[in-house]
Amino acid sequence: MKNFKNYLPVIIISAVLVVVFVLGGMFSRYMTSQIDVHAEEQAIIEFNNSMLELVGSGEKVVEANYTDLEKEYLIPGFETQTYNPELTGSYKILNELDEEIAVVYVITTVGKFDGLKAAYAISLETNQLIDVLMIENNETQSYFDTLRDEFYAQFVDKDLNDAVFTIDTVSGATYSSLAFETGMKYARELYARDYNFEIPSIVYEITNVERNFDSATMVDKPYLVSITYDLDNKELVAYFDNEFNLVEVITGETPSETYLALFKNELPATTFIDVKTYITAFDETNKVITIETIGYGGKAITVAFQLNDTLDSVESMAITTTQTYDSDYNEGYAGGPNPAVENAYRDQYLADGTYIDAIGGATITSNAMIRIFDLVNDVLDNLNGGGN
Amino acid sequence: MARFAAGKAPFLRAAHDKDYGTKVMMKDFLIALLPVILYAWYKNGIRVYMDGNITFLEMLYPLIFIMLGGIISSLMEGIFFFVTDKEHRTLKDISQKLSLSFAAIPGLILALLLPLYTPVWVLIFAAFVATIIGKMIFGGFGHNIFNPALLGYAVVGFTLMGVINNAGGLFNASEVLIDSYAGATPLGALAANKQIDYNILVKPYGDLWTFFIGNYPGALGETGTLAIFFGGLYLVIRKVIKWYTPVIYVGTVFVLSWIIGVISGDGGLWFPAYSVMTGGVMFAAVFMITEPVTTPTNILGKVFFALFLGVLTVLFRFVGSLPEGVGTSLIFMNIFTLPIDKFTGVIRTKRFQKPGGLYFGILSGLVILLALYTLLKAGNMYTAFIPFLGWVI
Repeated sequence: MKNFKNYLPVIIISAVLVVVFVLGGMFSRYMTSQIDVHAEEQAIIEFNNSMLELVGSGEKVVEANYTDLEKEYLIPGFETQTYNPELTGSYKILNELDEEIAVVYVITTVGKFDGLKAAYAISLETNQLIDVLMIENNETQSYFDTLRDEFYAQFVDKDLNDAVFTIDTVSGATYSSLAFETGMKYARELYARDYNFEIPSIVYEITNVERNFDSATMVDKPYLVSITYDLDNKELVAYFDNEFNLVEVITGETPSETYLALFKNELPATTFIDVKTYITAFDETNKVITIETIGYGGKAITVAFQLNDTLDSVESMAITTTQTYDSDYNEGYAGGPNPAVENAYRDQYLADGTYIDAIGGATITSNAMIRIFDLVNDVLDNLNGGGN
Repeated sequence: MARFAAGKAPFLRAAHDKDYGTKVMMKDFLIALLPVILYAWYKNGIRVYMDGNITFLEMLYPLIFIMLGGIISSLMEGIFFFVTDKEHRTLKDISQKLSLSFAAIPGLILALLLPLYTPVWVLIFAAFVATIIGKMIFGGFGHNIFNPALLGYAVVGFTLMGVINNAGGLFNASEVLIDSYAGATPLGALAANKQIDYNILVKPYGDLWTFFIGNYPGALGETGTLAIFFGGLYLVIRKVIKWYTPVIYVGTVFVLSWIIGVISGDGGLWFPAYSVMTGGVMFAAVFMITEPVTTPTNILGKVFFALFLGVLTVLFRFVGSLPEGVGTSLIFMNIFTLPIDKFTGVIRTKRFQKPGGLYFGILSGLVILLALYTLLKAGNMYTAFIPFLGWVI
């Protein structure tokens, strides 16, 4: 007992030190844990502020908890593969009277790569897209950065009642542009569901697209298109140029500007024929046909074919190209520099009329050359029943 | 013939006088620390709470942390007294000893030198180093060689800074939100860039007035220049410290920094002002280099001590791993307190007669050489002025 009494002071001091150690330690751990909490809170505040800034007015942001809907869109660069965009967040923007004035959908779409997340703000008062805000993406930054203010300006005050609900893509960042367009369209679908908005009904069906191989007109009127459109099923058969502007109506009446804009937008997506490859010139006297297509990086490949006198085979060809094969996407390429791939295709075609299946690491250029040869074969078939 | 007291400071002028004596000095010291403590609490707690960035409990933490520093060092000394003195082990005896030992002061200063998010176990470890190793092992109050708080800070700074940074470091909840800081203190920006550029060193944090007020990221007690100034003024008025020690120290840092600025092509006074208001220079000037136990006692000694310290502070900012430079230089200079006291004592008695003149020459020469070396080692700044030196130094 005496011993205990002797040691009581040090026991008390030690006990206080232990209490300080335990409570102080808990307090400092709490402080450290709060850093993450505050960071999260701040991120929410910043995000909400960015939503308010996006809308340009409003006092409060409330999470809306809207859900995805089933809607498939083409994956950029693919002709048939589709995907469903993902709604990763939805927010109601309220005014000072707590009235909802706008909704923001945060949607993840696919550009060159998956994961392009952007916010699309829609005004409940005007049924217009107010603006769009890019949140994050996995795109190739050098290409993505070519999307400048002019591109984003297309979204500002865009009317959801527009029959042709599209934007102009930016060359070099086409897939990223399409990702935004898909997001915008999906946002309109969501808005239609969540706010009883009626998407303007445009009824049309492209029933056929074929090439015009008439030697006199195939350059200026390359596409013969058959379309059924409007609620009363109007029939249209017409020639369109390489940019899908109407050139000449064969059957039916000239459609309204709205429909013409729609056709211009939709015809390039048609799966009837390859619309990336054009006949740009035909010199009947010298028997030279020039065909152009888009290869890697949006760069053109132009081939001038010297046909024989009977227009049923190719005698030679001159290729104009600036393709590269050593980009990030084509790491596997191990051949020579430009125009080795084009020349390989040329030599094979001239030798026996066949194509190389593909050259590893340069598949986009390979496919472009194949498209050109397909088209020249079609031309030969139709001009004089030939073929190399 | 002049007579000098030989022994360790502090020398009490009139211990029985209620206006003087160690107890009064230490009380004044605590009063002088008060504005610094309050500003540290305001900047890292109250204001952040008012910004809406932390909870009420978090708002109290800076004050509690600083108080804990004092409490922990007192408790440690209490245990030390109990273990080493078997005759006086009652709580009353220990309390009496603690009141004469001013046990809380090293802990308070230590807490003020540390970042806000220092874990309490690190504070306890630092307080152990400061109190037990830095003070009690040497014989307790009045016998220590190193400034105890600084020793604790230096050990933690060299060994546990990673732990402190992982726990949150020195940016309070408002400061982490300021993008322009880019996660760096003003001296961190200097260490990283080695460029005398107002836009890099000052502008991200505001202006020189911001530095004077102390509203920039830094350890709890080191940023509040204005609060430290008031504390220092109080100590000078109360004659607890000599005015010239902090003035010479701060002046040396100021002049050397100005010369470095001139050499690098920016002769503005902003850089020397920035240099003295960052990294604990002001805090050390008032509360550490004036400490009577670990610094020289005679006037000339204090002058040389402050000169050496000023030069080394600037030097260590450009060659050391701890960018603030103050702690490293002061610990280093603590080693030389006794020799400086001895040599300057001789100089005072012998004037310029042998060996006084020799000692004076040696000390002055060392200061000048160190100052020149510092100018040459000031990062890449000198190369523009005298480029060939970059090949040899």
